Amino acid sequence: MAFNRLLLSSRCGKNKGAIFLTDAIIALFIVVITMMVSIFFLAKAEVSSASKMQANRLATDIFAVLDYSSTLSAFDAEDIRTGIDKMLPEGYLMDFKIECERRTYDSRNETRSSYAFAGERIFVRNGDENCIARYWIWLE
Amino acid sequence: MHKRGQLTSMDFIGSVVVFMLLMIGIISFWNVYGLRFNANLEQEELTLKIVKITDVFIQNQGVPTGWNETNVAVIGLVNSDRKLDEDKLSSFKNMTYDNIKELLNIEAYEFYFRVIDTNGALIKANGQFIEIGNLPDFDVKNIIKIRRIALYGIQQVIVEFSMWKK
Repeated sequence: MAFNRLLLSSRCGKNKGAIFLTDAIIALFIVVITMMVSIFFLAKAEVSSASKMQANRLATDIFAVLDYSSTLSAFDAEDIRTGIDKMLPEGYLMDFKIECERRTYDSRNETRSSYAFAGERIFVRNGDENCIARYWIWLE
Repeated sequence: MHKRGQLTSMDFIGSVVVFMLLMIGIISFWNVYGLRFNANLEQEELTLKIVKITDVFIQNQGVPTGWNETNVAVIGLVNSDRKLDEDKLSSFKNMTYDNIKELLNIEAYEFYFRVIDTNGALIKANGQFIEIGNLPDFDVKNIIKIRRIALYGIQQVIVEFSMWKK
């Protein structure tokens, strides 16, 4: 800015206003960009990771309990869905996919672009079939 | 000559006004977001604490493994991962509120704990309803509540733990 002024006083004459304006626009542009970036990060920090942590534990608990109560190994999709719905508090939704060596079930009608948490649990069905349960939880 | 001086001072006053307005805007924005950010941070810290406490409750047997209210060093409420133990629940119920806070290292907070079934009814262990502490008053802010799922016998139950600052 000082350098510009120096130049102006020595030789710019008519262009003085234009250079000041360019300086001002660039400065304003930098301020606005800085503020927008700050707002973006602050707003992002406000999307609580607390609720994500809760969702994580909730989903992990549900699938552990379904495993321990043999609901997973029975591989009845309806029973699994009922079990999840019974344990899932209001405000949360869950999808799951179970892949065994001889059978697969996927509860997802559509693939969502974002979830609060996704996890998986490995279990054995009927003593000889390896299965993997994948689950996704998100806030309504 | 006289007019040029006037223009410079108008320029100056204009730029000072714009600068001041911008500064006031930025400072007030910074204050508001700073406060919100701090409150959020406190909440995150509380959540982390509560998640870790409930992790220990439903994933660990406690220390000693067969603890009771007289010899407990670490409170764990299960006999194996996410399988609640009736005796441990009952021992937990028999502990004093302050003793629990001391062991969990949450002296600066208040808490409320209960075990309910999926319909919301309190669960009994050795004939006692498992409910510890008092529900927070309506004016209490920043209450963090977590629900964990576990098995109690063959029953699926919800372990609920709420914590808030005194």
